[in-house]
Amino acid sequence: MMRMLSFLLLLGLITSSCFAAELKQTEVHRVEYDALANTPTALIREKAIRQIPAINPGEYFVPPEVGDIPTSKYGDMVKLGRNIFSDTQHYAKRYAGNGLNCTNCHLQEGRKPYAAPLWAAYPMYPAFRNKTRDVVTFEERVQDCFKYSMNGIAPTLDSPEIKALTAYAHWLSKGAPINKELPGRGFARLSKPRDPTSVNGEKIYKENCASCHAVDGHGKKFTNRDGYMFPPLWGNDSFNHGAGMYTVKGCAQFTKANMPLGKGWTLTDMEAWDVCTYIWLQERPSDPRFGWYMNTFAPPLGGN
Amino acid sequence: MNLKRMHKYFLVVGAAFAIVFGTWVAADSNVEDEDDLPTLDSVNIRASMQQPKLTIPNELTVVPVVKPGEYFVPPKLEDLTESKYADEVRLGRNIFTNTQQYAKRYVGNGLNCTSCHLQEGRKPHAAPLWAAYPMYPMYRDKSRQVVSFQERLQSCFRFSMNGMAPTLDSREIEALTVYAQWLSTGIPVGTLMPGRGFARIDKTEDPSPFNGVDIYKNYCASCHGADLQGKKFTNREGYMFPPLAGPDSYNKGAGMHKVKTCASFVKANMPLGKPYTLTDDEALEVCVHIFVQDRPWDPRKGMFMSIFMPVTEG
Repeated sequence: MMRMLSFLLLLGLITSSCFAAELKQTEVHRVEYDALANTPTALIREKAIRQIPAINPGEYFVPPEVGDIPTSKYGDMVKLGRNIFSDTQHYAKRYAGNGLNCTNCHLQEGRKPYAAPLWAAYPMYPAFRNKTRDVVTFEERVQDCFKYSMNGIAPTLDSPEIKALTAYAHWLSKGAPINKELPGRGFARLSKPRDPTSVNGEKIYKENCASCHAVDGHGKKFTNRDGYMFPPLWGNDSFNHGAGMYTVKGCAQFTKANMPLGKGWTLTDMEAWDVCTYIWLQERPSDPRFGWYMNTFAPPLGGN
Repeated sequence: MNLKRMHKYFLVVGAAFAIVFGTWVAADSNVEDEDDLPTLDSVNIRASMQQPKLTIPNELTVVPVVKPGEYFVPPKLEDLTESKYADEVRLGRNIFTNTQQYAKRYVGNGLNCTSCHLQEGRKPHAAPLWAAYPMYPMYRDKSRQVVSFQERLQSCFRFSMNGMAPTLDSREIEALTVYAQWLSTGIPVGTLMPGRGFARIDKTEDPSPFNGVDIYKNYCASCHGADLQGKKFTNREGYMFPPLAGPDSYNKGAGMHKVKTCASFVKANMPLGKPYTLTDDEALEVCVHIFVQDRPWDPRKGMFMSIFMPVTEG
């Protein structure tokens, strides 16, 4: 009996080891799986995708993470500044005259390279500005943002809003060298092969922009809460005639690097010029520097 | 004797004589040279030392010199290219080095910014601007809130200059900010630089003002005056050496009025050109002596004190 059992055990061991060897062999010689052959035809993208220069992580300055904001009074100011920056409509409502937030132009909370990141701007100020023909500090630059891009009233230099935004910019640019131009500063640099036309621009707008910013350019509002999901490009709730984004060049440089959202650098330089010429022609609040003149002869478009 | 033979003889003798005499003369002249070696007479070389006005100390102490590579080196003024930015930098530098002229209306005493921020705000461990600017905005215990660099400058005007703070959008504050930003070109934002603020002070015993009197007389009085009122220029207005007390000095709200801050400044920078020669305790003691002097009142408690206990005139 014992002999039989031991014999069976031995036999079983041998056979199992053989099976194991066979299994291993099948694992080594696995069949190649062709992803493209098994993909449904509807999901195959167009083949002529334009080359998109992706932003390499090591190439641009990386600001500190939100989780690293220190728990101190300085950290509180940074947090307040971040709140104002990303939700201006709530935290600095009294100073904003339209429906925009800071992050509508300074994408990704002011972090994205070539979307006027704060970390590239803060170390360069105080700097000379052609617009004001004066050397301005960072605080005064922020005031200009409120005055023109937000079509509002500038907070005073000692107001908590300006101080918080400055603290936020200071924290974002922690480690960036002072007074040195960083790669990714401002917007993209464009060539202009020919004079732009708004006729082309209208077509490009309807193809690429209208799905988010709406055909009338008034943006798209949230359905469940106040404010804009996609910011208005013209009309009452947009930036005024004094804003940097109102210059065709500024707008085109921004569009080239950042628009359509998530597909930056896909429009050609000329397409960006064209679509911005179309946007430039639309009506929007007038320049506050020409206030009384414009208010008298070309009054604003009325309340919201 | 043959004349030819004689000629040979004279030749040999003459050669031998020449060798002996020559070596003797040479040796003699050597000795003469060693004896009459011209010694360097400092009075002959430097005419200014014929009538020495200063007594130079015989026992020099070893002074740790600030190494060029060890601390940040701010940009040079000559490297500025012509622009409006450069104009603002120059105005800021003028205000900084000659506050009495360029920001007179905001200054209540006889000091300049460079009285504390030595070498135009460049010297490490003398509160250099290039180490301060990248840290602001930051939280300050004094004002109990986060202040920007401009507001910090306002505090300087209010307390250290015992004056009225210029507004945040004034030309003076703006120019000073531009100057500070230009000085700190290349420094990463928000980094603590070596050489920031003043030196560190380690107190081993409680300082006494009585020692401080002696230390002050020995080390400080020759420039700042025995009465601590500083020394004025003779040919123009203003102070050659800033007053440490009295109505023309900083007021009681200034950072320099704190014994610890004063001592850490003194340790790293005073006596002028001989930093780090006083010990920590000596610095503390001399600062206690300065602390007990009369000076303008803290403007935060201003009205009451100024009316009932006005500053004594120097």
